[in-house]
Amino acid sequence: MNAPLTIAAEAPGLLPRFGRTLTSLPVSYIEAAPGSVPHVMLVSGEGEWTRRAADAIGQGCRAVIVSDPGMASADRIMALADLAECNGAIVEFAEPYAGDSTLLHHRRDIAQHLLAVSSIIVTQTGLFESAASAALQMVRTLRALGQAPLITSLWMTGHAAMMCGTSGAILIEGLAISASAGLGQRIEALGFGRTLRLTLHGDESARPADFRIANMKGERKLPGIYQSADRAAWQRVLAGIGSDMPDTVRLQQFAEDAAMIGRLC
Amino acid sequence: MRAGKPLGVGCLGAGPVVQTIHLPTLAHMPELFAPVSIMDVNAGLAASVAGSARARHTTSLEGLLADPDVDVVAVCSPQQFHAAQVVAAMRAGKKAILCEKPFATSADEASKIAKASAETGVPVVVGAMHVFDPAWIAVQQAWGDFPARVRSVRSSIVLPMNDRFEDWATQVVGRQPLNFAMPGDTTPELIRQIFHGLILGLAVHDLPLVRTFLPDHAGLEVLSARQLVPFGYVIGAKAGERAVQLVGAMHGHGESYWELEAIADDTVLHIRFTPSFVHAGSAVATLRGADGSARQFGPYGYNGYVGEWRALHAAAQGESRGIPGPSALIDDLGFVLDVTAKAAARAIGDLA
Repeated sequence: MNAPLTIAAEAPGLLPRFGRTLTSLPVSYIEAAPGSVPHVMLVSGEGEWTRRAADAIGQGCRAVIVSDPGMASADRIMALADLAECNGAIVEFAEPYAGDSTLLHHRRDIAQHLLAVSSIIVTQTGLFESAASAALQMVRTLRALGQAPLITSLWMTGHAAMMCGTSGAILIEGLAISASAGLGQRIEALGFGRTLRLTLHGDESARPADFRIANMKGERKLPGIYQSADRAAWQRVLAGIGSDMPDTVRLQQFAEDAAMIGRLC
Repeated sequence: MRAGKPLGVGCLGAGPVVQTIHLPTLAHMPELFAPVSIMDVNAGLAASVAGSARARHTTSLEGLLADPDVDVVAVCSPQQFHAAQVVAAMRAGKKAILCEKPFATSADEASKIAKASAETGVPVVVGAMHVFDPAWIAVQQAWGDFPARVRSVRSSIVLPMNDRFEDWATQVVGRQPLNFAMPGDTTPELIRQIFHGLILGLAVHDLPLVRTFLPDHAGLEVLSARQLVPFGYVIGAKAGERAVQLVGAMHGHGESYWELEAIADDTVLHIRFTPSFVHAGSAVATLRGADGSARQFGPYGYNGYVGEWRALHAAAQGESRGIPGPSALIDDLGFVLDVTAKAAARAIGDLA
């Protein structure tokens, strides 16, 4: 698609992120005129985001980008997937950790190394609404790394959420701490022959994720991608609209993740 | 003893801990200590280690304790002998005792040590080197009310097998081959033994520090406890409203990191320790605020090994302010044994 896509944000709280990302893609996107139906709607992931995303598609948007999607009913997510498929619309996520550009760029490389580890430990620091929403963020990152996590336990203490489970033969452990210092998510993947350490700082493009892989031969640092998760999501929408093949796999996976965590709450 | 004369050291045990940790540490402080006697039931090993240290050797505990040149005793034998040997050294009139961790394997043994220490006036220093690391000591003096505000604490120990660092510390003699062979059946008793080895062998190093941030540690609840292959653990727990995560793993490559992290709402404490057996410099502790500010403590010119021997020297001179007292040691041991028992119970419950 050669002409720029029009885009709008459905919530005032999204405007700062909207403006920053729009400035970084001036050829591909242009802000929609007030009152018009944009090609792409930026939807907040708070509350009933599935309903607002469905409304946008119902109004004629060709794509919806959900910013920081939180817990939602799996049934409603699947209904949104059906609606998107019927309308040839795209639903994309802009997730602070799972959508990290460096992670997505190296995911195949990392996934290969994860075949040789026996445990993955996720640690996350940042404010969160509930144990479920914290667990969802950790699970989403594991998904992005090619894992199929099966979380079997979820606990909440005063200011932290803890989860454990497996991904195939790999042990999964997660700890999320609600705090305003030391923000970010870290992944330690431990195996006898290699150790992976991934540090995700969130959606700030100026601080790309730090990925290090150590094995018998030494340590390798994967190059960082200086692109925010938001910009990467907008780029994926561009590619998706160009392909005319809407992909609802991510929505289905999100529904599975939300359902799994929902059963533990 | 003449003023200024180094204290004579007797070592009970001549294994890798003595060879790679204590003798190299003593070599850093010849003005304070001189090795004079090495005891091991393996006479050849005792002779070999003592020879390179220019010390005498013996296979007899009583022989070492009867040596008038032995002022202080380092108990570095297998842990099941620690308590009896510490008490014997106290009763023998030595000036101070350094005991490798754990200094006892039960509350009863710990009480006997405390009783003997009270009766003889002989202080005991437990070789929990991170307790004596100058970065840990410095950050405690600077953190104000931080421990009261902590929400979670996390210990992460990921290291190569010991021989990698041992071989850089010294030329080890008499090393026993590692054996990670597992019996065919996983029984509750085997799980208890595994977690005993994991916690008292690895996690024990930092549990006194972890306890600092857990005022409700007596009510510790272990939520998950899993063994990592070939040697490691992941334990999730809570104490009161505080979350605890303990990770330990030993592997077959060169990566090593040893970290302790405590998180309050607006402050994060991060400590990166040097690996075991390394004889240069301290940990680095950083207090980082939500506003982006950071205060760093270390690296200092010496580490916790030197710190614990300095503390022992001071204690032998009657200055015990810098060392944890018997009640603190008993509480530390109680916490270690509590974590061990509850982790094993959780793992056994999960197995069932």
